[in-house]
Amino acid sequence: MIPPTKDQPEESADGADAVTRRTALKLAGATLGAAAFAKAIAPIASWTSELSVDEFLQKHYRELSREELERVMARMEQETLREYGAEVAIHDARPRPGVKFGYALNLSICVGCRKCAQACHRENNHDRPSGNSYIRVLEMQKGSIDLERGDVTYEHPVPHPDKYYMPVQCQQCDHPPCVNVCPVEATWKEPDGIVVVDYNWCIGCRYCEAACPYHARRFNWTKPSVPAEEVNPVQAYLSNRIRPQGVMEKCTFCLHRTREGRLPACLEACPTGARVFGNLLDSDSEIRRVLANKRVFVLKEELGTRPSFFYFFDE
Amino acid sequence: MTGHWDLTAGGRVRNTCTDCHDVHAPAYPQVQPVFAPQDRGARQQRARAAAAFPHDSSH
Repeated sequence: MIPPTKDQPEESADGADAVTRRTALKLAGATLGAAAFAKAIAPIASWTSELSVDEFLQKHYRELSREELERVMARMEQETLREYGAEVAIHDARPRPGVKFGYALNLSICVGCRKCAQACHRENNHDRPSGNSYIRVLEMQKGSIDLERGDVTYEHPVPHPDKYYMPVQCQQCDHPPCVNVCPVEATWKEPDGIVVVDYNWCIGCRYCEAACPYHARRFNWTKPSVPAEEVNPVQAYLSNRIRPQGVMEKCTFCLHRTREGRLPACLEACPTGARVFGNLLDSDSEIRRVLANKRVFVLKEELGTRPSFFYFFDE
Repeated sequence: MTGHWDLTAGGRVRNTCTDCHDVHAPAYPQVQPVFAPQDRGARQQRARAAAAFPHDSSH
């Protein structure tokens, strides 16, 4: 008997026109291909009215021209008006030459009132139901510096005589581990020391949240809910504009204020004057006087992150 | 303190302690803290601290 050639399909044992192995493999391949194609175009299939074509095609912040960025911010203002009923002005606050921001906090006079966390919540248009804030205030046992033993959920009157209070927010590290782990370069360090996020480029993988040793990054689990009358209308692209759902966010030292020379909201809210903010490159600044005359320390120095946020006690 | 860190851009207003406190009763009064954290991280942090240091009465 002559064996079947390449072009002659092998007949089944009973001689009927059954499906050959070659046809079955072709069919399986076509099915897998179709499934892969469907998966590849899934983002388009799940397109919602909340995601415009312009938003979908928007470039990275650092690749946008001035004109493109103006159009993007105008679109965002319209979206905020449509979705939140609030008229806002979004601007692009750029770093100032000769400025590197530094922050210091006097732990001897912080009373743990959490006014800073509340001010952050309002200033940065945080989601209201979750009570989000970029600042956590740790209640620490006197004599201990172990952050893991700090309690953030205290409710009793403060200051407690056996405790001291340590507000923790983004340390704006010079060697930021959160930046290194971002797979899409949606977060980076600016020339004035601020670590920022392009909320429209972030894919929400939360690697940065895991990498930050200070627990300073936050994830938007839901679309932020802010009543129109409570929306802070003074917004910047890289800071306090209302973030989309599913992206990371973090403290920017209120760059929409500080890049215009103003003090951060958390500092203005502090009733005891525990916070000191300024330009590290200005030898006459208040922050430089603190660094020169106080025994300052940084959190988790052994990690080599080189924070721009310093703590000190009065002598 | 309110205002500007950059004094070339604007001024600042700084309260002294005696603007608010009676100099004859200088101890800071205790205050009720505001804005307790409600996020999941805060709850987890407290649970971790309680589990790690079960005999610590401060938690």
